[in-house]
Amino acid sequence: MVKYALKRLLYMIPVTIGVIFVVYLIMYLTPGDPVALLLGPDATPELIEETRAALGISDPFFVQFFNYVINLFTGHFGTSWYTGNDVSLRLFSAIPYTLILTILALALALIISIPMGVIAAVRQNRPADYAVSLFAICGVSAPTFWVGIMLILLFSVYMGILPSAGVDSWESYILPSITMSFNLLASITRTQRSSMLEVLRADYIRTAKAKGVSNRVAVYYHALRNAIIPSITVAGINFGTLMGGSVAIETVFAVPGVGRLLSDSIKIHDTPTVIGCMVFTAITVSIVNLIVDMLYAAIDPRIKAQYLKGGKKS
Amino acid sequence: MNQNPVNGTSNADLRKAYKRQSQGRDIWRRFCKNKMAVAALIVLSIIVLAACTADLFWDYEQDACALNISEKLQKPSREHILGTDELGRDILCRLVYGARVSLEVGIGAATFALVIGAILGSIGGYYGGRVDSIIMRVTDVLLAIPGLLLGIAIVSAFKPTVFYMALAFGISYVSKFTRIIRSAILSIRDQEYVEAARAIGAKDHVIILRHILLNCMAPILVQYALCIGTRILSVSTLSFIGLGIQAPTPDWGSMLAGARAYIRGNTYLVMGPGLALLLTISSFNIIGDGIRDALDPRLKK
Repeated sequence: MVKYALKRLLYMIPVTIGVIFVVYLIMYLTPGDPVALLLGPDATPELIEETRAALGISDPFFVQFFNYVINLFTGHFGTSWYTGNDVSLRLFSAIPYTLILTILALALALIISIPMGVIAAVRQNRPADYAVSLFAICGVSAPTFWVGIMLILLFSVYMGILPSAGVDSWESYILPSITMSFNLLASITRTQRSSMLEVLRADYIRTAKAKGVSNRVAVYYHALRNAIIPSITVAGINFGTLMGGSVAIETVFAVPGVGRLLSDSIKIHDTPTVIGCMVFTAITVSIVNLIVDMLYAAIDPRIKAQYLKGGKKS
Repeated sequence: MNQNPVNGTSNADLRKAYKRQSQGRDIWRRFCKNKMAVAALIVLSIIVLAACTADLFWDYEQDACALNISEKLQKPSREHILGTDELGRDILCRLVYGARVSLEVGIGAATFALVIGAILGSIGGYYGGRVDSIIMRVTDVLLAIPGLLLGIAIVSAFKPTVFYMALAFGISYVSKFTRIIRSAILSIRDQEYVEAARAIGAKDHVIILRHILLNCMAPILVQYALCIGTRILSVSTLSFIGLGIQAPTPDWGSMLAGARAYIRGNTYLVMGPGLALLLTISSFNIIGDGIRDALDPRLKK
């Protein structure tokens, strides 16, 4: 198990370097001269040359890329073309907001969607099932930023009970995290419903009921434990989408998080900051996928057994 | 219905019987039984039709783009069924033209992803070995970057035109198609009929295209429909944060962005584009679900 985790952790390194390469390449191809942007129109040619050398922009692509990766491992994300400071300064102050939002959204999605999926499956083809299914299909299809605007309209403009923007108090996190969880919540509900339907028809559930286990125990103990694995997979797969969605949600709710920083930096062509935000997001997504893989083993002893067997072989 | 077609007397009867049994027809019949899916198909057809025939009702330059400040922020009326936006343009007209952009980018991106994914997935799954592992590592890398962010980066590096947006949002979906097609091919590759095709000397590309890919159309088709929906979502998000299609071209995402400042008192402004997005995307999702259920009747008992 530990061996497997270590293997996966090591595998993250080439993937991360690949991600940095892709992002760096795209940004390298972006037109526009950062030095002119940084120094303004009054700069002398000598000063421009000096700054170019200092920023390392005149180096060949692979030298720049190599330097960036080396710097990254020491925690440096390069110099922002906009502020002239290290990118990590702004990035690290933005990260907590995004992480709080993401974790809240993930928790909210799991807490609500799993019971909803179970209820829909247990009451298949009855009003409760139709209601949940309709909600889920709308939730999967609704643009999150529009959901955010609707929530602002309802709770801030009409009812006036929740703040519509900023991060001044804990209440400010309610609307953005609900908005953020919306898509994920709906897709986990769908998965949970269909996997639950499948499990409820399984022989061992019939066996459990035959030996006199109550319906409740059969559903919540025997069936749910088996039906929850696909939901965790979906949560893991969609975690990237969840983080990506922060770009729009942080714009709607004026949250100074990584998504906001990313979209602002793109608008002012601050390439190092853009790369920093993307690399941070990609690394987080990779770590979450690793955790999800570990979770499988914790939930399902059969998968754990597989890992153990695999570990002995290698 | 269940009569053996061989017992039929005339050729026409035989043909009819076989036709009834053809797989495509069977799937279509099951699809039609699903009321939600049929409704979604109708809604989508209306949207596509409206987008195609918009020029008959409006003049693009005059009605969808030109400013008309004197008529700004009008509530829905007989003249402007959905009202006018903050620059005095008819919202219904902009909605219909906005459908063009969304559909073009959505379908373009999904098709691009499908073609590239099919090529990579087929090569990887059919030949295996080192090529396969290189392809899988590349998809690992692409999967680690959230699709929306990758799309944003690519669009900002090039130009926010329909072509580049389709390309940018297609790339982020390539890995998904590659994986689906690869695993489908792996499960079919060693079946007897493929071996038979190989034995009679069929070329590799014929085997992959005719014998393998056609047999795993089901999951591909479902994924294609879902992909169009999610791509439309991504594009509207991009336009919403101001990095997508540039003004004055009508686009649902940028319409919402423009309307956001006026929501106090002008709620109708955010309803149109939002509902249009919701309807279009959910139609694609419901159709995708419908195809999946029709293909695998076991799922829906």
